[in-house]
Amino acid sequence: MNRVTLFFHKAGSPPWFYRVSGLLIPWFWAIFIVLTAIGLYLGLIKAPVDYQQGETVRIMYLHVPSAWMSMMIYGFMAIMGFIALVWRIRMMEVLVISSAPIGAAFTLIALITGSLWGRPMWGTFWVWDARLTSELVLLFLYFGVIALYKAYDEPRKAARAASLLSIVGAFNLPIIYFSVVWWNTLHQGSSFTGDGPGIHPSMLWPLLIMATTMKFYYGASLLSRARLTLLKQDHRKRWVQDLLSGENS
Amino acid sequence: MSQQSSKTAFLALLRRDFLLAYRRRAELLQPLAFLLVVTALFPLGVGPSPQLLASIAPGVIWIAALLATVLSLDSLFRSDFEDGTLEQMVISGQPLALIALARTVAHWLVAGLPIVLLSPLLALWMNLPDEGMSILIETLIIGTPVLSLIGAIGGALTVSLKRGGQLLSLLVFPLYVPLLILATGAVSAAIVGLPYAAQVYYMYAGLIAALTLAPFATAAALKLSLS
Amino acid sequence: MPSYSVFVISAYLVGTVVLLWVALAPVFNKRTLLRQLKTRQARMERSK
Repeated sequence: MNRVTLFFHKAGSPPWFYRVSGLLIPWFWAIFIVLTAIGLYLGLIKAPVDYQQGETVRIMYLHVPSAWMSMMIYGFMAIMGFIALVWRIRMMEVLVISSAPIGAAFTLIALITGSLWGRPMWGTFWVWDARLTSELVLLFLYFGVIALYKAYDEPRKAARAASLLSIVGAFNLPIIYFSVVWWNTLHQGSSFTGDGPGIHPSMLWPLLIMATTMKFYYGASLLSRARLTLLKQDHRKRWVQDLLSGENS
Repeated sequence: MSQQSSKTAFLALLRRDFLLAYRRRAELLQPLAFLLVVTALFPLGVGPSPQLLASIAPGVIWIAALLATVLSLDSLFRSDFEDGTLEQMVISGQPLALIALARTVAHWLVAGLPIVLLSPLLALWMNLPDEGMSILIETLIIGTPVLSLIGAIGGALTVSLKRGGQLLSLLVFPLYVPLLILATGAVSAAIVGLPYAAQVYYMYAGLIAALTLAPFATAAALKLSLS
Repeated sequence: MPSYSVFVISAYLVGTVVLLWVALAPVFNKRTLLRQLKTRQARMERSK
């Protein structure tokens, strides 16, 4: 067996995944905290205020990375869901359903910060702007995946149904995005854009750092959710029993 | 499996579905009555001003069509699932995507086509300008099959759940967003005399994509529900 | 230009609360789950 297939065999085994993810999570949290501190320092204190938007431009360092994460996580869910359905890898099913609440949280943050950014810029909390609208549809897609998972009694069947739905949604997501952009230009002329042409390095760096740190947040949060789901599903299995008695002694 | 027997199976399924639909006529009329009632509520809610009604007409008619379709989707696979017919279909050896397509085509013919036929009446109620009339019907002819095809995926995913109906609407409405935007955009453009060919071509593209991909997703969802 | 810092502060506040909640929920849930499983295991061993 070559190294790659060996890795997949190992990664498909819950005890191995549980052990290795337990080692990884503290590192992910540590990197997240350090990078967030740097990113927030650069973004909230060092970076200059925008001459058009004033202080509100600082919302960008949270809003834009969250919006990126919300779409990236949905794409991940579709890819992992595809792997889960085609090769029937149980760990992938667990990762798909563990991703959904995190993705929904990022979408919610993107929406709320977007409307808080919009209040001083547009004079209202909500505008049917192309980005806000497509984020809202994305939030409904996440709700659909989560609701479908919760509706089934059998966890594995539920995870497979959620995987299938996220694949279907991922096919639609670009179509939704382009149709919403097209609809928006039709109804409203040009809307406000967060980052103009050529963003200055003093603003680009904190943005990139915040975007990177969110990925570590996702990693740590995803792994700890996946561990919890594994414990719940396997609580009668041998490895969980061994784990419990190990912790007792 | 030879091509001949697949074709026979497809036609046999269609015939069976029409017979079932004919024997449950009253059930089929419910979504249509719902369509009429919802549309009639709009003038009552926003006022009978002809200009106002004309400006919201494309959106109202399309949203009513969306709601009526989703209402009829819950029963798409349910009775077949409950009495075990679906399992027999799966083990019949015919490709499941073909069976799913047959069910969807039958659904469109008994639930989608009547919406298209009723749309002139709705347009009349909503005071839709004459310029929008033919394009409204055209978008409905292209669009309602897509509603059935995408909705069938949701119907297959929720068929084994007891209270699938409400969940179904949450699952499929976000997926209907592009279609709604394109269709109402085309009708509104036609009313003010703007070109609308692009929207209609995109809708055709969507129909072809849904026709080729959706039956496979429905088949996968059915297999999952039966496992 | 009037001061908009209240919007910036509330945006970051919302972000912090949501991210903290999403991160901490599995930790608390796991704690309760482990406690339940341990009591069940202890009960099983006692009944043996």
